[in-house]
Amino acid sequence: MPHLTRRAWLAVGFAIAGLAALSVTIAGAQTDDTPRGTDPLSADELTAAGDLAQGSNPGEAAGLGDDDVVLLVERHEEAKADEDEGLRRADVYVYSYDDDVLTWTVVDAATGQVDQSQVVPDTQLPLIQEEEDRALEIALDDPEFAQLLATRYRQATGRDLADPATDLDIQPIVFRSDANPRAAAAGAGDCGEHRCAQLMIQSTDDLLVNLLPVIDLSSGQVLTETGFFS
Amino acid sequence: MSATTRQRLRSAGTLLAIVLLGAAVPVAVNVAADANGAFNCSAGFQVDETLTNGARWQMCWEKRAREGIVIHDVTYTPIGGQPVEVLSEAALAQIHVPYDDNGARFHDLSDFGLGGNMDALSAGDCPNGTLLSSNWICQTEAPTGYAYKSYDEVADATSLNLFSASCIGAYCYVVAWNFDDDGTIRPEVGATGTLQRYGGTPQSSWPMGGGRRAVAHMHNFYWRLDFDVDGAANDRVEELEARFAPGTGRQQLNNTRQAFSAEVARRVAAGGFRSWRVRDTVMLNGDNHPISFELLPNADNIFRGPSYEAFTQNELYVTRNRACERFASHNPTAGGCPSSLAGFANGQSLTGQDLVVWYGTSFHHLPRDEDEEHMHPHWSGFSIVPRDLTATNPAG
Repeated sequence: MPHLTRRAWLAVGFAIAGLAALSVTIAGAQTDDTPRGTDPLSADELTAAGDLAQGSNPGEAAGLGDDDVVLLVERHEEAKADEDEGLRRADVYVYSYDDDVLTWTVVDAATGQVDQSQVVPDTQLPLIQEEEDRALEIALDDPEFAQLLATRYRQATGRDLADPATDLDIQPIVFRSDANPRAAAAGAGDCGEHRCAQLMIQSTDDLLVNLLPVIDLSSGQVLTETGFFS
Repeated sequence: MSATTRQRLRSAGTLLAIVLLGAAVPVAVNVAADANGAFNCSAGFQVDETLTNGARWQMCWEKRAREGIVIHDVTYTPIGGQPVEVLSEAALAQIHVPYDDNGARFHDLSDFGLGGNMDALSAGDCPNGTLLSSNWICQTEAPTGYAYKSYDEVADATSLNLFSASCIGAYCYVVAWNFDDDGTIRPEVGATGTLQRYGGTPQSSWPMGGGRRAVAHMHNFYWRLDFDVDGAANDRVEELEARFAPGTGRQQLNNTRQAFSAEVARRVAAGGFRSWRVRDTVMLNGDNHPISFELLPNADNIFRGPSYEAFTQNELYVTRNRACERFASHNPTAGGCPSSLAGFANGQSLTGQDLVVWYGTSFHHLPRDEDEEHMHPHWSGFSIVPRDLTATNPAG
């Protein structure tokens, strides 16, 4: 996915931090505000985990490639037997657009160790902001979809669509063809291995634009302008 | 006996009951806070609420990308009793939204994420309550009506309410955890926002204003409940059921109890009265009865999907606690972990295991004119009620 840079993807781990409610240093004296136990990862812990994830793609000789995307960084759930150990490890999920492989890595930010790493088949995580932006870009660059969107917007609102960026509230959701097998028969069979997005579209004054297009982020194509309706 | 004498006896009886209950309620070691009052979470993620009647709830909470709010180490202290752990962890585990016309089948929790799309609440979202760290949760104590009424003897009840809100597409889900002062836990989800899809046929939709139709759909909610009744050890799940006794002309009911020794998937029984309880096999209350918490389902909200949604074939699942089993569907498959509940319950022995209970309930949303412009919240949920936790009602 050439439009996306490694730097942009790495920033995602930090955006996920609605997680980061508390920002304190990992080291130093423990106070009652020091992240511990079942707390979400702090901003510092997310940063450290993201740095460790640099080496998490087994397909790259070193670090993350330009087509590697950090999809999620969050606290690793420790086994109950280990709860007293005080571990604050992170799950890091990296998706490689080179070969459409999702890798899960458990890192210990406190020790700098990568504890385990494995490929996760048949699994899709929610889209990150850059993927959502890219899905929208692909959709609006498609002349057929852009024309249909303008028509449906006018039907829903009675107004002309002047600027999608300001007139529309679009929320993409990751799309897997195994959620609805008829989608596979209709040409979306790669979705699930590929990263795909389905767009839910409203006007900014909450009127539904009745389209559910699916975009294949891996191939850069609009698979359906309307959705897979009966 | 005069009214004054009755009142004195009642007061003395209440005092005696409290003293006895203090001895009757089990002393638990696995609780939210240790002997020094230290939680397994920092101050910003602790909930420690003593309700008006004296009952106390303690727990930690966490915001995760997909589950949204996850509750940890839920501990209940009855009036005059000792703290007892109920749940090690509890969270919503999927919101599955298939439309009647098969035009979309969303798995909102795993595929969109409640945490990544959580709304920071404002003071207006949380009247008479407190916004917790980063404004993700509103915490309130709210009246719930009678604690009991017996002629002129009455007492009022309240509940600790925690809720967050996640907006996904046109919908907003209000995810609530209600902890009543009698030890009942009521997980709920309120579906509100605006309608997501228009179109459809008379068979799949409802006529709306302006000649439009709105497509009917399901909301199938699933929860993951890691029960640790007085700790993870010595827990057992039993199915309780009342069915008409054969040969009695439907005049008598037989009450049965069945303990599960292996992982199992069960359905609600619309024609009977079926519930499930998680009991400790060691800890007894003051009547020498095993302490337990009972899951009361909704027997009239059933959805059975197509073969590729096998997780919808049952409402109740009991499994071993496996860290990789997180979501009812679209579960990550690292290390060969199954992709749905249908694979989680595969007959493994439950003996001596840390147990997890999964429960799902469904809501069929047939749109109506009142859904426009904004929909009233429709609440879906269930109850987890103490059964023999205390020897008598601690409230009187």
